[in-house]
Amino acid sequence: MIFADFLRNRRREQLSDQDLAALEASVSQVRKTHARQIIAQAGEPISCSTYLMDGFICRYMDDRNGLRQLVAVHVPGDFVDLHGYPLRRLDHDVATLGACRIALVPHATLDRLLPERPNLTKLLWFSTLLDAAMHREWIFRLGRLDAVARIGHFFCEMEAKLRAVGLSDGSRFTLPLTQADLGEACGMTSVHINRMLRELRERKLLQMQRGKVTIFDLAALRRLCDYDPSYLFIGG
Amino acid sequence: MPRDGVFDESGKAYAEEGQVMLDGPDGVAISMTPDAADETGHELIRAASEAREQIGEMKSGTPGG
Repeated sequence: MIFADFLRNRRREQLSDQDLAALEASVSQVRKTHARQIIAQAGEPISCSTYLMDGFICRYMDDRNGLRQLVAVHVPGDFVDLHGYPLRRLDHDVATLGACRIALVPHATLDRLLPERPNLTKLLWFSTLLDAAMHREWIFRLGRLDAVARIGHFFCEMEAKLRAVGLSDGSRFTLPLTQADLGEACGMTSVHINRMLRELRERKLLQMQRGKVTIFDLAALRRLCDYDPSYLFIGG
Repeated sequence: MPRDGVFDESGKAYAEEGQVMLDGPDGVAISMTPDAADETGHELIRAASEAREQIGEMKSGTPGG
């Protein structure tokens, strides 16, 4: 099943068997991608949306000097650029972080499918609204949190999202991001990230080694980062 | 704690691998070269002195420049 993780532990129970079957049938292509592969570029017309089956994908914007700001990191089960369906073009780039498996859903198929399936339409809308909620949380993170809390907050979000799709046990998960990637997500240099990771390790809160993250005390980490996962709508 | 968004706590500065990092208050988290950090430090001291003068003028009712 392609959409096995779609809205898992969110509103999956509201997805009827018929809606799910229609969604599965809407996929035109499933393909594997390399790490660091561009999926979509800002400004270009897009005619299909990308569902992430395995791996990690980021959305990002580069400034005039080529310095990058990640604006989202997607995990399996995410519809990465469903907002591109009504928008018809993206205002940011999309690229894989590690190797991925993706499913492509043509917008022309959605045009035919959605008028017949109001419940599926509502759930797809819900999915894009989750993205909007995450963007609000990222604004909060970058605007209100200091360095150590920023990076801790990012790890808290990744842990919560990965746990919802069965890829975190609450303390350990895989995250194939470099310190440069973390810097681009948190608006800090990789040297700064390195120091903050050391601080988190010394506080016995979190450790990251070769893409493997271990959170030693999730409750304490969430307190440090002012993290409340309710914006992810997991479990309801 | 901030009053009207103005902080009365200082940020903390560190040096690491030839970079100066300024953390806090609140959402401040930046890295600078040592030269940029020097210049920023001078600018902060100058602006702090100017702000104290403004506070003195406000207390005495003297119009500021």
